[in-house]
Amino acid sequence: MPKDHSKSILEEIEKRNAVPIPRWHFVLQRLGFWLLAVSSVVTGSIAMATAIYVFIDNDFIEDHEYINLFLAERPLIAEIVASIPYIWLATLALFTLVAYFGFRHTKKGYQYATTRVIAGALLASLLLSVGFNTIDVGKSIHRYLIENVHVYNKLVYANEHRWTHTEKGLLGGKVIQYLKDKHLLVLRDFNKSIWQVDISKTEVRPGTHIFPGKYLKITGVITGKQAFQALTIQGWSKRYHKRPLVQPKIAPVKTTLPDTTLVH
Amino acid sequence: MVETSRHQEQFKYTDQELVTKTLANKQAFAAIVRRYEAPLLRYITRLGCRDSATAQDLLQEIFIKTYIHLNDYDHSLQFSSWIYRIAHNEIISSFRKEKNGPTPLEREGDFFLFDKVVDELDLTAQNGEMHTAAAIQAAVDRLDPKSREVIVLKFFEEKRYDEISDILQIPQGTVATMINRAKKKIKSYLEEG
Repeated sequence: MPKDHSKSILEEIEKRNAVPIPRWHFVLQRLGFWLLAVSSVVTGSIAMATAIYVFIDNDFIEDHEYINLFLAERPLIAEIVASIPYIWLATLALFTLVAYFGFRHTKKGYQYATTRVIAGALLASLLLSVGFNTIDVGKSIHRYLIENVHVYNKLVYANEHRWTHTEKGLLGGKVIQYLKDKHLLVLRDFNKSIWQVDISKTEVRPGTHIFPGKYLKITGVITGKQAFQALTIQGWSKRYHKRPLVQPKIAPVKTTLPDTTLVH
Repeated sequence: MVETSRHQEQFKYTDQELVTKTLANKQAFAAIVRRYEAPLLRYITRLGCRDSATAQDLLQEIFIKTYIHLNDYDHSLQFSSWIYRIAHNEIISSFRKEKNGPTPLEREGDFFLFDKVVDELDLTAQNGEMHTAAAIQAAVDRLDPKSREVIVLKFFEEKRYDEISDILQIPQGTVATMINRAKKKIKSYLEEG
């Protein structure tokens, strides 16, 4: 039978000047873990929204007419594998783990199996990402990074890269200036090069609006130093937006150019 | 007379009431100490702390930690589960600090509990006879610390699955899996001899 320790323990408490930690401290601590879990799910959903945008904004998926052009470069499976935005999926995985860690340290978090918590966090991220993409969050983040963070271009093989092959007749970028009367527009591509684009003999896809600030996809040929003759123009619309019912014929694109017009 | 009033106080109030009373007056904590010192000391020993002085020091630290964290006690939880959780964390942390693992379980005091393990785990030898308490003890001692913890809580502390879940802070499903795994290990150790 153990002896009564209550007296010595109370004395020790007295000696150490120990007092119960205030309740607000624990409330704040739990709130901190909830905040960590929720903010990680939100950050994960932003990563997923961007991943979805990068993968869906992919011309080889919908525009079957272009497929041969892309397949000439590499096989479809390699194209799909390269198009998976691994960096965003890794970011999603990381924040899902952080969300799990945060949730696990909430009051009742330990009662839930790891797989259920991780599946729940992923599902919440997925649902939120759909919401985020309706307000173009994924697109805005991706576009900002592709234009401003050089290293990001190396981490993601995006549609912007497909439209940065002027030697193959594909030019994409942002309209800087539109001279309607001269049938000319000035466009900055995703490598920050400025192009003068002649649109006098161009087939413009239905529903395409041209104005400064608008992102366009242009097929055509290089005609000189930083000069491009456009054959077709279409807007850089979201792939999951309703596409125009009338599909234009795809203009012939030259894949080889005379030596004199090559731009290095 | 004083002893009698202490005794009455110890059994008059529920754990939750004693927590509330302690937060108003720390002298009420004495009743919590008296209520839990024996079971917690047994638990410390069963988890493998065989040195009496170390066990007493651990017990004191557990109660002081309990007192300091009283405001963190969630009344939806059984107080016994909560104090066992503190005890468990403190014991494991002490093992880590001392860099020594648990020592073999004591057979003398827990003799009848080894028999209970034999009954509950249906540990029948190949010749149809029941395994001896000594054999069970040897098998339990060979278990890894985590398996041993769940076996101690389930069969020696006689805790339910939900209580073990609250003490070890793992899902109930994991508790069941760990007990089954530990049971298989015990059986295989017994078969090995």
